[in-house]
Amino acid sequence: MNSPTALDYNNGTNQLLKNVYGKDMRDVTENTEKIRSIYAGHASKHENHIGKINLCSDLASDSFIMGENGILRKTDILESIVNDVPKFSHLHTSADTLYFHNLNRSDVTKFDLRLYEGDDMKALVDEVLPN
Amino acid sequence: MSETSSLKYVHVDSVNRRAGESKSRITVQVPQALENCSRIALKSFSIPNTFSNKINKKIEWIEMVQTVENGNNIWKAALFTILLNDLDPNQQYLDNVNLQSVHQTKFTNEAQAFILKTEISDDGLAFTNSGQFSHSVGSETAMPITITYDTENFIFKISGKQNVATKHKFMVLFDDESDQSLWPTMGYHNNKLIKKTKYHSFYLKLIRV
Repeated sequence: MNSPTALDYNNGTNQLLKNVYGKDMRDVTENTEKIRSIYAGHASKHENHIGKINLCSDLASDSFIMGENGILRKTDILESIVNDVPKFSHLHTSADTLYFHNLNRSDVTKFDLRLYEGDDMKALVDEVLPN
Repeated sequence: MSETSSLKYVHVDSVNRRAGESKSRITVQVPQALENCSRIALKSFSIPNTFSNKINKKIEWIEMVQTVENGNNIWKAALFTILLNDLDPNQQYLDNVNLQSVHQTKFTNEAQAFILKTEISDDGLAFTNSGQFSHSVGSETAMPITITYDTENFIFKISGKQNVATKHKFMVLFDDESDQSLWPTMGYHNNKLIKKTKYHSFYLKLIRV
């Protein structure tokens, strides 16, 4: 059996690199620059990279979020806000129909508010947030 | 029987947070306790969409080159890292064109100052950070890498060119799962990035070829 060529790796005839972002960069005629380039799968979202903000609070401990494999996970998300506005504009949401969370406290004198990013709930660090 | 309820609103302006308190995690003291409160909801929320996009970010990739030693066909590999921690601290935002330009400068790696090398053992198991800035695998010279950005379709493209045409040279994008990788925000799907935990099984497939 002949060894795979660079073209075999890059056009998927050989499956090794098929499901990863990888190419054989061997500089041979048939392995053109176009063939041995690693293209992004979708448009860059770097310029407006935060797609969703989750506003969490210890008052909203009755929330659930669907994680990987469809497994529900308990969270304290008060509301999820989708970022569908251009960069350098204002992200604003206002609810006409309120999404209520049950509260198991008689009195509220103090609560916390926290911001997380996206479905994987990455903490938004201070350096990323506007002043 | 009728049920009566009343709504009370709490307005929170994070500008008035205590000195030194985090911007993303604040504690709100309510001057007058909300009594017999049974439900809570968000009425409105507002924030400027000026999030910084260049904090603690990096890109990483693995290069593998096929070599022959003592008549045996083996693969040498190394992990390379470009950090974006040396940019102007006053510049909180990079657009795609600027990002391409910054990356290209670092890929060019003049004075061997931008590409950090992590050695990968010949069995594909051990990653050893050398702390050295170098862009070579085994005895190979550095492979030129070009990054372009298509401003019409917003697509990034990475191209390499192996100098020694007689050898296979793979470049595979890598994610160390530290949440610092820029690849996903640049448009590269996370599930097609090689992870450290999956590299060895990839390596085993590679040497069977």
